Amino acid sequence: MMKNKKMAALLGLLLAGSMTFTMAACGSSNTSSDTTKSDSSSQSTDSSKSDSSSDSSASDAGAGFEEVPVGPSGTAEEQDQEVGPLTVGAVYFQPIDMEPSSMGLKAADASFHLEADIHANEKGTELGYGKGNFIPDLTVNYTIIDKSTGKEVEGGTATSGTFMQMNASDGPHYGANVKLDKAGTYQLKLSIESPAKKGWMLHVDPETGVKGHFWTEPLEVTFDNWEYTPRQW
Amino acid sequence: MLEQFVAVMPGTLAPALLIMCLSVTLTVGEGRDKPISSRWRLWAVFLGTVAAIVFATLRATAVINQRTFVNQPVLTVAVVVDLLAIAAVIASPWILKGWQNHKWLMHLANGVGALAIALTLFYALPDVILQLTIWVEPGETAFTSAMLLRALGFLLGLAMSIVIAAIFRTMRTTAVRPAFITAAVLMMAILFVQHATGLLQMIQVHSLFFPHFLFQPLVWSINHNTQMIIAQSLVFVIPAIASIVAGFRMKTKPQSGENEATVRRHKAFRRRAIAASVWSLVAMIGVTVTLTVGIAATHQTVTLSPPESYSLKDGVATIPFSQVEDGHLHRFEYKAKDGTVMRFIIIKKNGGAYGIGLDACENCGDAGYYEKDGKIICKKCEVAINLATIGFKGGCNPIPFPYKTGNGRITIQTADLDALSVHFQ
Repeated sequence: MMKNKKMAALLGLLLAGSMTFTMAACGSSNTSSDTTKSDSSSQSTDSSKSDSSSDSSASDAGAGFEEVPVGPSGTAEEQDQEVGPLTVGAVYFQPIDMEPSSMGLKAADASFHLEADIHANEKGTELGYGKGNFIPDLTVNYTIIDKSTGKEVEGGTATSGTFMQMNASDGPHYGANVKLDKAGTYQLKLSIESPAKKGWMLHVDPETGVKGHFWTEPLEVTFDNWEYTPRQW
Repeated sequence: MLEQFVAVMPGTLAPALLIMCLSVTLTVGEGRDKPISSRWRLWAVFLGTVAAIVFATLRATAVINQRTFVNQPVLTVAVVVDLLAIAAVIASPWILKGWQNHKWLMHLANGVGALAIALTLFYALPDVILQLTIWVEPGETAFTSAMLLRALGFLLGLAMSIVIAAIFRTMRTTAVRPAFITAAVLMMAILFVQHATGLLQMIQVHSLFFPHFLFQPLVWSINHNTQMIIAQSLVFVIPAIASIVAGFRMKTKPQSGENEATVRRHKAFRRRAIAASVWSLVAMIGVTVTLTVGIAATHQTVTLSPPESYSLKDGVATIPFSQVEDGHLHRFEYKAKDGTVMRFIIIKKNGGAYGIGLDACENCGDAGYYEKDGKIICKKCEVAINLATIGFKGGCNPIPFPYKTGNGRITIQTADLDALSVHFQ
């Protein structure tokens, strides 16, 4: 009897291994991205990203993929911060593969995908953006700081760097895959340089020009007391 | 392969030990003289595994796009069942003794044990299975030689967990029962802490009612998971010592009134007791080494290869093709006008062109690149750089700068390098 039991356990677990192969074959198609797309595109079709993110973070009941706001425990929604002409929010969710693949960590190597949602606010309209519009060509540098040491967190990969701009099914954003296995209280610091750095120009003539000017010093945004724990997605 | 091994072994060890502990402590009777509930635990192994495979499949194929909404209720039940199972194991000597007089109690213990096994497997296995599928990138086939090695690491990790549980099981007859039960209870108590940690972690993220004072203990528990898994195997040092003591206390010299057969039986017991303990100690060392040395090996820090020499004259750096045409990464150092020590790399690409850029990128600064298995990898973010894209801007590509090729050499104006010194400050 005992022998049978062991054998069955062994067989069961070996089955798990072999099943993984067949499953991996199924998973190799684009089904994952397709499903995510169809799911979240139903959540939001407009350009306002903050709406969709609060949707999916609130709907923890299995509707969409799980999106977690960067902030203290129990932060239910993305905590938007106003800085200059920008509204900045930060969330993280399951690591994802992107193309071209050489631009960041592979999903398999990462703990999560960190995302900054940056839109124009009322002041941003003076630069010619529509309120709530995504602002392209920003240079968004990020650093995850360990609050217990006050320095950049150690032991992770890509815990600081420059976000790339990218499109997901719910619109464009700035983001990167990050590897961070250590739970703790962190601080996410963003330093946002204006599109002028990448050569973005502004009309200044009286007829078609905009009122405002791009900022010259990087705008700093801090998401403090980020109580982070590595998750199973 | 090692990565999968060190991920799968700890992931499957706790379920394997739980199945073994419950089978040792709750098995009673022989042949027809067995409670009907004795098969429940076996069914639980089967059901838990199948359910875990189905769940992992649904997650891997993104039919389900998050695990929390399934895992949260599962763990809520699991933490209660864990405590009941611990109680059942503690009470097992009384439950097993004369079990026919209180069959319901025996069935209850087996039922709780079965539920604990099923829930533990269902929670633990998807994470282990997904270790393998996450490596299949969208649009790529799963059947590559790299995947074969990963699968091998996966199976070896699984095999090691089962073998370790089987080795500890050999002490069931040689160690005194209370010693074995103590180890089982401690192992299950740690499993309870692990389940409670997983549950609290899910509550912490989304619930406004998460008690804040619990965050630091939660962090401690998450960050010490590896130590807890090692502890789950080290607790079996208790029955190992008990087994050795029992083995040495067994008289192997003929006592008065004992026949040869009894003496032989005593000798065999001593041999078995010592062998069981020694092998168990070996198993414990195996777990500890896997989780310390093995994991450290997967996190090895790379040291960059030393820079090579080249000719630097009148503001022009010259590197002959012959020095860099072997298809490997070549690193060079240059001291900029402002005193900054800079590095740049040259590698011959497949098409015959040269990939030339700073040993730094926009994302990761001056971390540098190293060569591994024919790939160029960023030391900081571990991204494998596509050779074809070296020379282009963006992402973690080496920052490009102007250069000329011709007459069998590469020439670089140092003024172009001076202008980029900011990347190394």
